[in-house]
Amino acid sequence: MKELDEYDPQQIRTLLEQEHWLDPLPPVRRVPLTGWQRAVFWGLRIYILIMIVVVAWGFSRSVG
Amino acid sequence: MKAPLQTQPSSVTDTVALPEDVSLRLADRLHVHALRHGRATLWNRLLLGLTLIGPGILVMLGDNDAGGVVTYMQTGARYGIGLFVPLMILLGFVAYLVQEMTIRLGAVTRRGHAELIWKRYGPFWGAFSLFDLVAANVLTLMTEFIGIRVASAVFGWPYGLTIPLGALFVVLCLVYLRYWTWERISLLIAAFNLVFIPITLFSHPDWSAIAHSLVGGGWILTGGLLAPAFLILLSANIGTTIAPWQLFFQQSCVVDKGLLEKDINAGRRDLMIGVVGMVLVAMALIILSGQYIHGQAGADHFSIGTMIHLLKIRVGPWVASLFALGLLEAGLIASIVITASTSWAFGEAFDIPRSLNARPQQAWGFYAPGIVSVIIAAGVVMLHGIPLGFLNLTVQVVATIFMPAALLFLLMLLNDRELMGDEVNGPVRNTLSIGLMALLILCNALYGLASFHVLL
Repeated sequence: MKELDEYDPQQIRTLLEQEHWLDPLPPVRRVPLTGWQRAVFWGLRIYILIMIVVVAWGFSRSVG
Repeated sequence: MKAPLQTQPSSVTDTVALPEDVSLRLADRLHVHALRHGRATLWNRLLLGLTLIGPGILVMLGDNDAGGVVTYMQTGARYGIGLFVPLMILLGFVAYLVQEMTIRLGAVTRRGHAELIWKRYGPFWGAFSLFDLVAANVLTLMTEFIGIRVASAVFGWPYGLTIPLGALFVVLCLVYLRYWTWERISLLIAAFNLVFIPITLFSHPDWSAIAHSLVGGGWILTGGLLAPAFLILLSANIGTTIAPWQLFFQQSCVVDKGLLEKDINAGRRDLMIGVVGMVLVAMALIILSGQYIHGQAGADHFSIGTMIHLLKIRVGPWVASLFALGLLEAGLIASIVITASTSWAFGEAFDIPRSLNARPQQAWGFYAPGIVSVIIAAGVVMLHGIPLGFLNLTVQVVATIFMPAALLFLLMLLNDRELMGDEVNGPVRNTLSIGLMALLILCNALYGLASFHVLL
């Protein structure tokens, strides 16, 4: 594959413009989670915690 | 190797100094552009296709990791050539459904998964998702080094040498290769994952049993659908097909490769090739184990080492050697991609330089988490007396329990019209994804209960 300097400068400029490689990306606006979303995520965290305790307990029993 | 940093205005743009990672990515994009807009010959089309493949094949063949190989073999050993053979085809569709969303998300937003969660929903939830990913990644990396350790034993190589060498190879690939070279070398290693297909083909598979299983024959589940063993293997098989690292990895890979909205279809083709490869390898392993291990006394509890030994006796020494090489490769390729996903996620979360094109001295904060994760995982697996088989099983469970939360973030981002524009998810895809999440939680919960029940 060719290095960058081996391409025609005009071709590079065109691609830079067409594909916006030098333009800053549009900012990502912060969106707070809604009440139900927070509830679901906290539920999932509790679920993960319980599962990890079960798995760790199982692992310790197996090793022991 | 990574190119020297351009600090002066580039001769190619005359007025603009390109950051190193952009200049390298631009060279990759110019190559794609030249092939896409060049003469429409068959050769050019083929080259374009080969240039655009990468993230999808890597994620799906990396998915057939050492832990996955062990799981498929255990599945065949317990249930033979039956329900799990066609189930792999269904799981292939599930993997495509999930991974396709990461292609669109990465190509449209040009941002990685961790970055989007962090910026859109704030550092609190971003840190949660990053913690889940890193914990699952370090644990999964352990299973990869377990694979390397088991394969080393088959050849009589000391794991005290092969594990550090494997770890060093993974770190060197991550730190010293630019994205393009890293991707091509990884693809070459990943291609060896397909070795399990000829192994099975040349082992005289029972084609009638295979055909029978595809139409409902041999679907005998000892103990029924709620048997702990069935639930454990079902969860483990789902867990080996879709995992949190895959979401983060493919999206970051799409971004670092420089794929854009116009490349989404090419990304889908790449993913489809990977999914077909993943399904064929998984089916091959279940068939191999189902034919030669299933039915042996104590087969349900055989270690992978015992299974390889049985294959050596029943099929031939060449099978055992090739199988061990395949296991070594599975561990190595998964280590490479999982390590990259850890580094990418840290780089995205903390908004630091995060391209494989970046030189190590300018992006140590990006490379360090990946390197540390490899050292921890390799170090643990080198410990003497560690129960490798059960550690592998435990890791599969832990990795799968993180998946629903990761999937929920993915779905929220894919339904965000401000980010995705016209590429937002449709109702069918949303319904299927929510159904999948519910199924995952149900399977994991039943898995937990089954484990609890078995261990009591």
